[in-house]
Amino acid sequence: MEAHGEDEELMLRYGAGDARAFERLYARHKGGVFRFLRRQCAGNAVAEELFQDVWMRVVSARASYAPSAKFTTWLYTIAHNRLMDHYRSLGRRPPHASLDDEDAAVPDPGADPAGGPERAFDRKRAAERIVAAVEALPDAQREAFLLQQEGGLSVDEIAQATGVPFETAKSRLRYALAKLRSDLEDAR
Amino acid sequence: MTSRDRRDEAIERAWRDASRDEPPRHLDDAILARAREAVAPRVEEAPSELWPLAHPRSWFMRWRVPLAVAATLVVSATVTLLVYDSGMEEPPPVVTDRPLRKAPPPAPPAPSGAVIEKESAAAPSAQPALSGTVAEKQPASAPPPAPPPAKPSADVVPPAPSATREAQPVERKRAQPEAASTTQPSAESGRAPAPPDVAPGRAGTPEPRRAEEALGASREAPAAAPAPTAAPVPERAPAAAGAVAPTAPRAAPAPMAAPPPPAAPTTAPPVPQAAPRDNAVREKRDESLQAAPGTRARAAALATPEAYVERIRELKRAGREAEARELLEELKRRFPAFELPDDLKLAR
Repeated sequence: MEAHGEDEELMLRYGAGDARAFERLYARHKGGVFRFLRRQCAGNAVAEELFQDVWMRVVSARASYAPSAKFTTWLYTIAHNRLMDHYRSLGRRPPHASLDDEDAAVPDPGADPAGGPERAFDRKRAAERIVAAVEALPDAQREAFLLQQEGGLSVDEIAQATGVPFETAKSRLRYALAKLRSDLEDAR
Repeated sequence: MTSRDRRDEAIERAWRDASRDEPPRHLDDAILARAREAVAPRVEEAPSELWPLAHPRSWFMRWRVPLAVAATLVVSATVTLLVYDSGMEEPPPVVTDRPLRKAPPPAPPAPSGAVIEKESAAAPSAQPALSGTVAEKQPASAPPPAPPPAKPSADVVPPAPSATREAQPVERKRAQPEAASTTQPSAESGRAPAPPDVAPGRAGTPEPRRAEEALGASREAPAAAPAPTAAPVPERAPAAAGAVAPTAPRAAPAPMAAPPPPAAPTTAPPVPQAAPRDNAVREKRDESLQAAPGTRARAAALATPEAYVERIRELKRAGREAEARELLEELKRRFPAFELPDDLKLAR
């Protein structure tokens, strides 16, 4: 997903004043961060607000950034913390968005030129199922799954980003995949 | 690869297919703009010549600092000038009051030159006291710390000179045969002539008897001390030393004829035991005392070096060489920067 060390180098260059380094960094990680937040927030507006806050924190921390860890780990740690702040501000866990009320969350069936209408319908149904299955996951398991899929983090990095022990992160990820397998098989 | 791994890959692939949403374009632009702005050089860091272009500031913003500095300078200068002017307008302190206050309270009837002479001779009073003179008994009752000599200012010249200057001619007439060849500076040197406004009440009516005593003591000194050069005239000899002072230094070198030390006038015995009782001298002294107003006028007339020069020339024309020399010495001491006329230079 990413070249090791390149993100850190880009961040260091941005900290030195190279705005184009940030542009490359942003283009590389904006989708993953946005989806990570989008799947855990109640609405698209909230996700956009959190998304902007995360990147502003990155901008603010440019001078103090030290590549002691992988850039994505650092980036998703910021996203995780911002998400927790948002949860705390709500006082309770907000409901998750569904694919039905968010057009952007549903892949465009017409985008696949190889499929016909039936196949496009099957794809849409499959996407709805898996999105629904992910949203049905417990919060900690969903976060671990999203960090792995959107951020490309390893189990160790997930543990580091979420501030839990390695075994805890590993268990969360294993349970999340098991539940998704079960849900998807049941849906067939 | 196990079937479980295959199923996981299918889930991940399905997720990637299902989750392709991206942040909206306006959000991208906003974030990138903020990121560029954060690392853009600040306006303050821009070269100074670009400042007006980067930040067109108002007139007040541009000139407030120079205006503040200018206003501060103007106010400071004004206050300084006001303070200076007010200080200049203050009336000059009356200097003549100071020595009079510091001096021991003289006896009301005897503010004569003799008393002043004793004060002026405070410095040499450390020498052994005289015997048989007025000063002989005074040191015992005089205050231990001799009062500091008054400044050699014209303002502080006490009335003593009026009495003693009159006696000077008599003194000189007597001393000329003895010490005409000596060039020892008299105590009169460094003494300013009495200004016209110097305590005329005290100077104009000296008690004759006191003057007699003083003159008697000072006249006795030359006889007892024939080595006048050994008598160092105190450089800080106060102007209050008066005209009698010339005789005092002559008396000073001799241990037996030291000048009378300063003493309170009240302690001075009314009649000195060893004072000479020469009738002729007394007559001359009386004459000189009667001539006090003329002497004061002369002292006032010698306020400038030119007046000295004129007076010296008059004395020389009158054949009074000794007095002319003394006056010349006094002129040189009082006005060291004054350049003597050629005739007086030759006279030296």
